[in-house]
Amino acid sequence: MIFLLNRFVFILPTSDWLDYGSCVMEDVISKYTDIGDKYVVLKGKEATPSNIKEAIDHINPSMIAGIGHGSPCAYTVQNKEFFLMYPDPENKCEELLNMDLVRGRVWFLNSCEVGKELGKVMVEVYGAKAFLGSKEPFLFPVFDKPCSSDDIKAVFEAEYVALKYLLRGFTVGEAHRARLRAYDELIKDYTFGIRSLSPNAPLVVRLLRIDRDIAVVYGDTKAIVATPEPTEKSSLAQHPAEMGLGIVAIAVGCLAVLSEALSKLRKKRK
Amino acid sequence: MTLEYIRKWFNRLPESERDLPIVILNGIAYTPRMILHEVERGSKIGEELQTKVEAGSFGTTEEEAYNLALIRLKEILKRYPPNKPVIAVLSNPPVTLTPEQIIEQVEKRTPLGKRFVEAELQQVKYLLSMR
Repeated sequence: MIFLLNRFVFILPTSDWLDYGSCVMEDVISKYTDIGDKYVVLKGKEATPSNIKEAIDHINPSMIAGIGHGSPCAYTVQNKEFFLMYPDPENKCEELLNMDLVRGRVWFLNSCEVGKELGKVMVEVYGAKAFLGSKEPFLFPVFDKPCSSDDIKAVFEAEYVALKYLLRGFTVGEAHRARLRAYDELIKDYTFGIRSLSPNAPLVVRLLRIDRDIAVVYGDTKAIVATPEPTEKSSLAQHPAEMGLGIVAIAVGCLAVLSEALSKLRKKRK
Repeated sequence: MTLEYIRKWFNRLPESERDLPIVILNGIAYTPRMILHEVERGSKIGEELQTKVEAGSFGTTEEEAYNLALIRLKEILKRYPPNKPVIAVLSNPPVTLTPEQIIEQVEKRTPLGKRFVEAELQQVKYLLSMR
């Protein structure tokens, strides 16, 4: 099976406290998907198993990223509906669900315990390219409204650094390492930096420590899901001919974006 | 090492950590503020506490370390209103925990409770290692 880079499906359920993470992931997506050729964001009641399946079938994404409640053998979406599952009666998973969709793709799932067994099975048995998740319960603060403060967002901000890196064309391994570094930096900031002044700092720093220690990655750590951002060496300005091609490419890209925006506008008007 | 060393260490600690127990000596838990006070007084206990801080050691047995973590977590969670969820878990079924329920997890030594103890002791080591 062949996949194209820069195609993503984002799963953002909001039921059962999931809005605490969804709002942070939505913010990440809004800043980084400008490089995406095609992507689908399924938020709230749209984040159903049938819609996700349809989106995957439709755009054939290189990466699926999402949040949801999970267990060692299952990943659920809006209203705790099962989306991925493999049979494991010990953990109350009875059936095989959508595991045919995982092959060849990178999966970033912010969900409890999915990194314990499900992620491994996705990679080792069902051929997922790579998997990033958590092997134990992922904890987050809920003493305030979703996305209402840095303290409420902190654990998700650290976790989703992996997603930012993947969207910028870094490898899975680099994204995982960046996620761990982000946790370390926030732990430092919440202990000794400006964020230590927050009355919630002691609790937040403990949650950061727990969530950092349970982050796992499986599969091909050299895999990428997006076109790498131009570095200084590969900059378009290096060679006049490349610069010309670059300008044409940008112009074509702009036209494509403009035409998509216009068609969306037309659809809305209808 | 000098009194200056302990003062410098104390001043680097965030305000929220200065009154949380950090070292156990002869069955008594000492906070950074108490340690500074004892060292400033030049007491025998102050000397022993200073040695512990410099060595980055907070207790002698596993049970002492567990008790230290438990006391600290109780102090931290006391700052939140009782019986209201402070954290949620991305588990299926979804779970929220009040301060009392977190302490219960720690006291029952459940896997999640052990995670909290581990995180707490990591933080203690981190604070003691500050120079």
